[in-house]
This record gives sequence, C-alpha cells and structure tokens, in this order.
Amino acid sequence: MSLMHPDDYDIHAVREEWVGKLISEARGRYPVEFDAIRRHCHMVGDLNPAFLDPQVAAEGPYGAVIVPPSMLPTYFASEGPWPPTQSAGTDPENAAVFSFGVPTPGDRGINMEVQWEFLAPVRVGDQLRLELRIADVFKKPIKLDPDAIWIITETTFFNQHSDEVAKWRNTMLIHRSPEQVARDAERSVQAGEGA
Amino acid sequence: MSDIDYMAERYWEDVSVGDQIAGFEKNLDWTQMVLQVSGSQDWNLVHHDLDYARDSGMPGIFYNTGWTTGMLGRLLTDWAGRSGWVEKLSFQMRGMNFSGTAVRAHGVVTAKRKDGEHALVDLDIFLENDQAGVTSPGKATVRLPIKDQ
Repeated sequence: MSLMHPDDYDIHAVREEWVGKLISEARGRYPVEFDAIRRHCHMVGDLNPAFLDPQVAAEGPYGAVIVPPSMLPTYFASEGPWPPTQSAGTDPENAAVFSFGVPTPGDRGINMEVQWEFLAPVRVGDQLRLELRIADVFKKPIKLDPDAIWIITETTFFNQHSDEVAKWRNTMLIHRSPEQVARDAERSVQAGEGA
Repeated sequence: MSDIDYMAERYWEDVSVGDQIAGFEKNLDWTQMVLQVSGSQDWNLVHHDLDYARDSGMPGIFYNTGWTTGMLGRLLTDWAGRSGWVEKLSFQMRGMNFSGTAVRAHGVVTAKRKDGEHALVDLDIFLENDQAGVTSPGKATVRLPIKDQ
C-alpha cells in the first residue's frame, strides 16, 4: 500500500490524479449463486423464501430466487476475496483494498456512509459487472488521526444484458493506527530538530 | 422459526405516516461474529481480530458494513411484503456495534407519495445497541403495490 508521511502528502496532487478516475471494471468471477445468498441471509437471520426457496420464489413476483437488496452486489460483480488476485486488490503484496489504490498516510479503513439505489431485481444465474469511480478525496481530521483521508466512490452495477441493476455511493475513511500516528509525529520532530 | 408471513402483501393504502416497524434484535456473540464474516466475506481484520482492532485504536471488534446493510435490508424486506421493492437504502456509520452488545433494527414511516405509477413509502431506519444508542441512522424508500392493480 502507498503509505506516505503526512508531511509529504499533497492532497491537491492526489485529488488532481484520482478524482473522477475509473478504478475498476470488474466482472463477477461466478454467476449469482444460491449459497452466497444463503450465507448472507444466515448472517442476519433472514428467512424470506424469496431469497432462499427456489420453489416458492418461482411462484413469486420475480419468478426466481433474487439477491436481497441489502446483499452488496459487489460480491457477485467482482472476483471476490479468494483466490487473491492483483486486479481484485486482494493480492497480499498489493493490499490497497480500502483506499482503492489512492495513496494515503494510513492503512486502516472504516466505512462511514452508504447510499444504495436498487433499480432491478438480480436473479440467481445473472452475471454481474461493475464500474467503480473515485468521486472525491479529501482530508478531514478525526480523533484518532488528524491526517485522516476520506474517499468517496460511485459504483454502477450491470447485469448480462447491460441493464443497470444498482448504484452505490460509498464514503470510506482511511486513518493511521495510534502507533503509526506516534511514529510519524516522531519523524516530524526529528526533521524539525535537524532544520 | 419466523412469525412473519412472507406470502402476505403490504398495500400502500394500508400504510400510514407514523407507523412503527418493530423490527428485530441480534446479540453480537462470537457465533454472530463468525456469521458476519462468512456472510459478508469481509476479511478486514478489525471485524474479527481483537488484537488488530485494538491496535487500530478501537476498543474491540466492530461489525462491518455488509452486516449493517444486511440488518437494515432485512428490516425493510421483512416489512415490505411479497411484492414490495426496496428502491433506496442509505445510512451513516455514526457509531460502532461492538461484540458483546445487543443490536436492534427498527424504523418508522415518514412519508407516503406517488411518483408516476409508483406508490412509494419513505422511512427512517435505525440500528441501535444497548450501550451506544443509535449507531446507524438511515433512510429508505420502498415501493408497494396498490390494491386492485
């Protein structure tokens, strides 16, 4: 990951290079499948047969099992976390997963805000792809890190017919650990003493 | 087993502004933590490694965005009925839901409107836990069927 000392970090240069940039045009490694939906439902105790029971869902308004709207379509529109690949950002040697490759002083990520728009049902067997862009990058301090970086992304999801099925706007905060903050502060003090 | 009738319809005409959605509750024990990682496939260490979470400045493991979205999504689809469609769902992560807490998802109807042929209901939705109060306030729009159409 491209970690930078805050004193070397030029937010204007980062914005110039990254805002508006198309980061990913990923395609799902697999079609939409039953078992991942079942695990998602198990996670939150969801027993809705529209998501779990092919026979009941076949008689429902969508004619087949659909993905719960709350199941991040990213799961089916990318290569997923395993096996790791460089293009998916899951290669351990290139682990800029949280920042989408945007250079940052920190490497700890927290999601702050999520906005979804669900445009069409996604059925088992559909093949999804996504286009992810950096919409904004800015610096805003938090209690843990005065040099925290905020990254807003916009992602559009398409099915195999190139129909838009969902849109996602996400705000991610990238911060340093307390140890990183202390280490960086020490370098700043040393640089000041050497000046 | 669930006491929700998933085959039932919820019609737009039968909804009123101010209607409460009682929702449901989850205890965030170790099994729930494992289900969170399995269901979301989010392997960020802050969501399952206590030492790493503490090294990141957090008091403990906190639950991830996929889980939060899933909880609020289930709240909506449990309520929306057989033909209801969640059009929009948004929320903020203002607080964290840590292991060891009990979290409740609930909501309230804030508006009813029509957009062309679509009959829509706006809702405020919430995740709150027994230690921090509301951690994830959000908003949603659900499209509901109209009677005799």
